Amino acid sequence: MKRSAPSLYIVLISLVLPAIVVTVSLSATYLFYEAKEGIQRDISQDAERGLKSLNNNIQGLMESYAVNEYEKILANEITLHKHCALLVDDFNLGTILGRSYTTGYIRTPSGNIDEYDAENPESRSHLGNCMDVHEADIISTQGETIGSIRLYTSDERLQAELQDTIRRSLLSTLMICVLMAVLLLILTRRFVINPLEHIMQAIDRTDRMGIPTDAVPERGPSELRKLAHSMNSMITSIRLSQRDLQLQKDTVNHMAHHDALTGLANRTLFNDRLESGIARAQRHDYKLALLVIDLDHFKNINDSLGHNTGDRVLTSITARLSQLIRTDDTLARLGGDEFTIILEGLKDPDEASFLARRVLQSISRPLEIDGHPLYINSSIGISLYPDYGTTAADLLMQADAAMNQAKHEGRNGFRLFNSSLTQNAHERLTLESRLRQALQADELEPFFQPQINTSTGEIEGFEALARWITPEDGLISPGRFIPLAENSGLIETLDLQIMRKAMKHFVHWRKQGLQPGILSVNLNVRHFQNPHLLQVLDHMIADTGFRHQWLEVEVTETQLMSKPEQAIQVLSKLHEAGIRIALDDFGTGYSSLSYLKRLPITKLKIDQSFVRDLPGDQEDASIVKAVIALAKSLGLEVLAEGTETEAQINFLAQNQCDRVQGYFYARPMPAGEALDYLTPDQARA
Amino acid sequence: MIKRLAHASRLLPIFILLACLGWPRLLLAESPEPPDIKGTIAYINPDSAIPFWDIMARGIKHQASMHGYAVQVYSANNSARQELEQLSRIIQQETDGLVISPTTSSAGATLIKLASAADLPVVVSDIGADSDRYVSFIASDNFQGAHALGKVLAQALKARNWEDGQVGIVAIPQSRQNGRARTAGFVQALEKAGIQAGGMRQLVDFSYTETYTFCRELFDAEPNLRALWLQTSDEYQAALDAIRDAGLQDQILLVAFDAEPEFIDLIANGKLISSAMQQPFLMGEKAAQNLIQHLQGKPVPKESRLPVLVISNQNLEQSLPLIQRNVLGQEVMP
Repeated sequence: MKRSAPSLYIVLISLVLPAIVVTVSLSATYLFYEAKEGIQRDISQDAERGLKSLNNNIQGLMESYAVNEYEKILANEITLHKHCALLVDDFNLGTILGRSYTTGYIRTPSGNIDEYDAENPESRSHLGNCMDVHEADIISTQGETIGSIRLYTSDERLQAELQDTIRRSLLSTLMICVLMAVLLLILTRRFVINPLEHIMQAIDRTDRMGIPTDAVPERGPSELRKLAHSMNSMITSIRLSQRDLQLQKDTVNHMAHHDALTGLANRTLFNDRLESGIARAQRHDYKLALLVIDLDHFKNINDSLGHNTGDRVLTSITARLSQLIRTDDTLARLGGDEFTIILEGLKDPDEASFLARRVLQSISRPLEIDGHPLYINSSIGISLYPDYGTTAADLLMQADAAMNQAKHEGRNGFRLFNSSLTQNAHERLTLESRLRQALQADELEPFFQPQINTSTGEIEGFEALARWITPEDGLISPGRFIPLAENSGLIETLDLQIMRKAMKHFVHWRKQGLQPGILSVNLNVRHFQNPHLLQVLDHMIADTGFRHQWLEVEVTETQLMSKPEQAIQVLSKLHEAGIRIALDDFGTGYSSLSYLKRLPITKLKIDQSFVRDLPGDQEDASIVKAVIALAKSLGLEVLAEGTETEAQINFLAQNQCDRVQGYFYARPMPAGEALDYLTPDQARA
Repeated sequence: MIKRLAHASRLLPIFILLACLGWPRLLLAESPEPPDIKGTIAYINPDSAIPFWDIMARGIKHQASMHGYAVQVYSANNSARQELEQLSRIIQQETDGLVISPTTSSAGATLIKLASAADLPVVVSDIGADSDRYVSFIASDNFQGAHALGKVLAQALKARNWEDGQVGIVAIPQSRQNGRARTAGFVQALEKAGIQAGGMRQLVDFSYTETYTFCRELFDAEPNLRALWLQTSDEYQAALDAIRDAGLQDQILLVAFDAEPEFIDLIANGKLISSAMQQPFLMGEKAAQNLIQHLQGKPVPKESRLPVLVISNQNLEQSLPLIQRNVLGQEVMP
């Protein structure tokens, strides 16, 4: 519960009134003590005067032994002047009586006048309660001391006058406090509260942003004027800041929802538009299509021509796509080379297909960037609301799946999503999860496929190939899990696991006196991004008892050429360490001869696609011969993959391809079978 | 001293009269003391040389002896100091009771206070005391006596058609209660008779000279003075001499208070018109009686007022026995 703050009045009274009370009280206290001293002084002086007067009156009577007469005077004196006690020592009478004679009167607390009785303890103790005592000797006319008189003053007068003083002080204090408080309130109202209320009234009149619409009146004391002036300055600054802030907010909002390069809606705005589009489609009962457009091989443009060129390509594509859509449609760039189009108000799914075709045509038109003609295709996936998906996430996933399917189907096309695509995508996810678990459990095993010297028929070595055998599905095709591993980032772990196991087998075999030759292992280009790759291999080699010169890493031509400079650096270090380098799937990529010359490779492996139709296919035969010639000219070893027939073997042997690998000699086999294969009595054609 | 001798010579006729009336018996009565003394009573008076106090002392002794008490008489000689000194001695002597005729009422209060502090019971006989802590107060009814005296004087003045004349007063100190009562009673009687009181003088030392001087002053101050009241009997001769010396023997009537043995003749021959006579012997007896009763644990009246005898030539003869005993103390044997 919020407590209401006290008003300024209360605060001022709370602060000032106690101060006034304390100050006036201190003053009253000072005056009280001063008055007390004054009263005590007056009492003392009165007592001295009374004592002197008594002395004069008593002296003659005492001298004439008129005891009763001077006792009457004492009684009158104490009655009239309210002394505490009045005593006389009569030395003459004392001499007569043979003992001191003290007479006089005391005033009891009840106000009665009693005779003093020196023998009475109460009388003596009464004297101790008196305020003060004044004493004087009584001198006879002959100059002799004939007695003394003691006047005990009472504090009755002091108390009475002090009470009166206190009463007057309290009254004056109260009056002063009340007057000052009233004066304070009036002045506060006049000079503080009123100007403050004007300021507050001005502040209360605000616009929809909460900023005062009117200037704060600059009135009242200088401090309040300064306050009002400062508030006016502040309000002006707030207005300006508000305007700047709105501009910045708009800018940030635009940046938050738009792609900086193309100005298209980014993923955030795309999601909002898609969700609102779905809502509208649901309300108006029409269809909505989502097109996911991915440029084919756009990465190659970035890699080969640079990112600036890639950006300009994206900008040009954006311009073309913008011309294809309606005002109400949404064109977005989700990232990289991936665009989306939200097509609302569809009555027929063919309208989406029609747009997809136009997009394909528009993108496939040649582009010219910095004088370079570029030919770019795209793959498009289409999902439809509400046919297969009702949520934005579903629609995007389905369109992605359809786009990937289009890519798998040869790119430069579009594909409408259907339920089977979902099944494939699910299976891929399941397989990826299982592969991750298998790698963690170290379940993948190397299979060994021998590489044979065609001249001698001897085993040159083995290529270790990853094989995944599961209890549920048995052997899973490398064609399924290797791309999955590459796409999911598991390939590096997979490569190193297979490499380590293969090394152990090789060391084991060598310890058995066998000669398995060179161990070839596939090395994904991702390993080149690891600056400590050599150390990893060194450690593995040392750990397993392997040796650098027994190892050959195979890198595919396509991967190698994606980052040739980086590959040259890494492979050079491996080469210097004594590790052999083989260029796998040679002929399928775009190898630059200049790079090929600079790469520290020792072997070219002719892709099986060129071997498959040998020796009958003239084109393949020509390519294989050219590759063999190229390898020879560069001093490299050459190996043909996928050799399955004797004719192929013969052709390759005749054309000086001295190493082959393929089913003709052996399929990839488990380590145990490879061990058997290595035994000397194994017959080999 | 010379004055004292002169004064004593004037008392010679009194002694002669006392001798004729059996004074030696009175002297014999004072001694020896009875063998079974029950206690001692002290009596302080202003001046034992004054017959009034002496007669009162004899009255005390007479009554005390009848009850087996001895009496010690102290004369203060009109001195407050001596009075106090005598009291101090009385206290130290462990006296059983005290009768005082103080020098003044105020001094009487002091005496009573000091005596009370020493647990000494006090009876005041005449004079009075400014205190009420006494056992009993024995007094003459001075007002009544003075009033009756005033009426006698007024009749005498009227008989001579002198009622327009004034009456001068030579008074005892008015600080004494008896003085104030006497003046009040006398003046009230005069006023009632339509006679004005003239000037008044207060005696201090009660001497012949003082009395004579005061009388002459009154004669000089009041030409119309037709009577003179002497509030005491002490120096009646001074008044007679003053009248004679002023040549006013037949023009001034003299009245007095108290009595002297000579007053019987003076009243008889008309030189003294009248005198209001206290009864000192009776007062002394009453004082002693009350004190002894108190010592015996008996109740005692707080105040006993005894009548004053107003004697003129009209009742002189019939009052003579009473005068001789109670006023002059002449016929009492211990």
